[in-house]
Amino acid sequence: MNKQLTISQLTINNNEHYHGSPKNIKITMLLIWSLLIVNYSFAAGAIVQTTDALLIGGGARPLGMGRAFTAIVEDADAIFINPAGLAGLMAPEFMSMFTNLLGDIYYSEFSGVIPSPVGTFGVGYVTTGVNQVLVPIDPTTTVVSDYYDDLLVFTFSAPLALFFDYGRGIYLGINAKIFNRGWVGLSNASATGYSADFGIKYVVSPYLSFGFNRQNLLPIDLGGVLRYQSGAEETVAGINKLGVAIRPKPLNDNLLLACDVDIPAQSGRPVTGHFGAEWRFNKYFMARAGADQSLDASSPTLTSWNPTVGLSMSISGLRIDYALHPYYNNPSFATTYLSISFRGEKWSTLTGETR
Amino acid sequence: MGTKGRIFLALFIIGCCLFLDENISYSKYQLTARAVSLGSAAGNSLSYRIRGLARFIYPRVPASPGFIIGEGFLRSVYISRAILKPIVTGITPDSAIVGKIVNITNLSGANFQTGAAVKLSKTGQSDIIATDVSVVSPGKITCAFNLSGAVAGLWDLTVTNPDGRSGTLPSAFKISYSAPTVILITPSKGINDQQYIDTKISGTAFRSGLTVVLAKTGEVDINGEAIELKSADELNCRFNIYKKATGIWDVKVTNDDGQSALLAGGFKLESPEVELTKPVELQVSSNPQNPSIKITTIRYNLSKDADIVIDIFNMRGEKIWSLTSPVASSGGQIGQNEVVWNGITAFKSVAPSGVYIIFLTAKTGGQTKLLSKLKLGIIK
Repeated sequence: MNKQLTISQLTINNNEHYHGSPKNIKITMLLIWSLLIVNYSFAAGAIVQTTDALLIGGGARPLGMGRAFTAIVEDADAIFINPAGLAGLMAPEFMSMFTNLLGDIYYSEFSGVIPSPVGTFGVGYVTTGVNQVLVPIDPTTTVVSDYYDDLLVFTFSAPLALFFDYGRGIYLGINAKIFNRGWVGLSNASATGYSADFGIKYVVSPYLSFGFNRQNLLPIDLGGVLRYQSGAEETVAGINKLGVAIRPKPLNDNLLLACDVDIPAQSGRPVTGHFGAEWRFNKYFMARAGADQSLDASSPTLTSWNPTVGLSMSISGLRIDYALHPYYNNPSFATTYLSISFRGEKWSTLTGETR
Repeated sequence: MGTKGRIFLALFIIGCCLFLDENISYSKYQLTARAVSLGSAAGNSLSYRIRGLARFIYPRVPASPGFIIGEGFLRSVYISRAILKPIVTGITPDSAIVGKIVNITNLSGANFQTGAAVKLSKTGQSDIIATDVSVVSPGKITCAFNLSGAVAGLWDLTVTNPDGRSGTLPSAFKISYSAPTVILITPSKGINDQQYIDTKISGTAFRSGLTVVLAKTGEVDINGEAIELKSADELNCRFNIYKKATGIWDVKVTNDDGQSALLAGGFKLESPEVELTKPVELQVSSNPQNPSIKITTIRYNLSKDADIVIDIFNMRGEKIWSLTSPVASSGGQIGQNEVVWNGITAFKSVAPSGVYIIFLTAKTGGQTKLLSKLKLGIIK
């Protein structure tokens, strides 16, 4: 019987469906706890940890909401935040985002997703780097080089109920990630590596959803490591993202509230929180605001809260998002993010199955 | 004259010679009396033989008037010990400062007699007579000199025995003026957009005719002008600091006798606004215990004291390390500063390979100024 269900029937678009059953809650919690147990069983130990480029972005819409987006993830940028959300898409979508962090770190991301009867497939690409970097080769020699840090992501996402007779409202998503980093013109300085993300989105009702994404869960033994030509190895730091999103019913879906907590998989990085709100004026314009907690070595708590704001304009599937994100209470560190996305028509094979 | 009479006469002559001969010393084992020749030397005595007649012994060190007479029948002969001139061979200490009372612990030589007088003398100057003279032994005297009002230079040292005989060691003792010291300069810093800065310098032993300069390695000295010596402990002068190099300067005072004093780093010359006087230098090395940890040394030169904040961001825009150096402390002082980042983030993790953005920021007077932003690459 479950094989007869289609993607659209399993999404939150059906306001009449409520999936907050005790069984679904148990399944969701079981999945999360299983991930956490596996994760800490494969803790990286003493090896040096590097970071994921996805820490920067995910789209101007999430950034305008203080990066509280793990339980929302209803756009193509879900690839970079919680791939489970892609299971709710019913139309192909393309998204891009551009920024220049701290005036020197360029960052671009692109993603495209295609829903299908067996799940949603997607691909994402992030390229970031810094040009004209001073690189001390030895105590007496310094060269100037350009640094690149690229990430390629392949995604698959589907509702759990597509494969089982239970779990309606529970979406699962997985990313396979390929890292490629290095220095232009320098030998023995590039690295490649692999990792994976696993996300869950639990749509309790049209007004409430939860999200969980374990970024970079691949253990070293299974290849979750960056290997440099020099022989050095680094793991990509894992993060457990937990979020909740609420659309207050009295406001007719015009207000969206979200809260995220990022829990580092390994010790060292502090836990950070994220809050965001989005108000839809009409079908063309939306405004956002949020508070993003960032790592801040100069703060006694090692974190600092930063306000964020954002605007959105959409016309006929084309949407432009803008976000302004100051950092560290320093106006000179304010960064702007710009996203351009396009959502196509609902696929006929899917639209025919919608309510 | 019989034989006995001749012997008596000969010995009388010898005694007279011994008494009169001033040339007898321990280094000259020779008697000038005729018919007397050196026999042998043994122990503390010398043995003399009167050829063909008799033999007597003369002590090497005539510390007492009782000489040992050999071979009996010469007992009636009058023998006197030799009268020797004092010899001065050294003095300890051999120098002192004008105005001080110096205790001489060892005036060495020979033939010093109890009651000897000691003095320092210099051409054109009054003698300095020693006090508390004590002849410890014929080879050692202790005494004291009061050098108040003395003139600097080399002085001759003379010892005069009570018998009037004296010995002199030329240029044996050096008298110097006190070397100056510089304790404080007020104000201790200036800004190089002004033409002159008037200063007061405190110290000791300043003398008329001194010179004052501000000195800095690699820079031309800034000469003190309009020097006004208020006292031996204080002077006023001014310096032309317009457009001179910022940094820490030494204050050097040189007296007319060539003696000088340095107040190292006593004066700071600042620019009106804090800025870097040289490009920032970055150096990366490996931690000897763990080569995967890279240690970064950041060197920068400031044109004035300021609160300095160094923030290091990773590629994700996260501030992973921060250090605030208060004004005038290490890291926030004028001149060269050096800050070391040990390669460990504030979150207790080893910094991985990649790019780090370093912000060097100054805070003065409530203003924040970005001095430098550097992009540092770390390769492992």
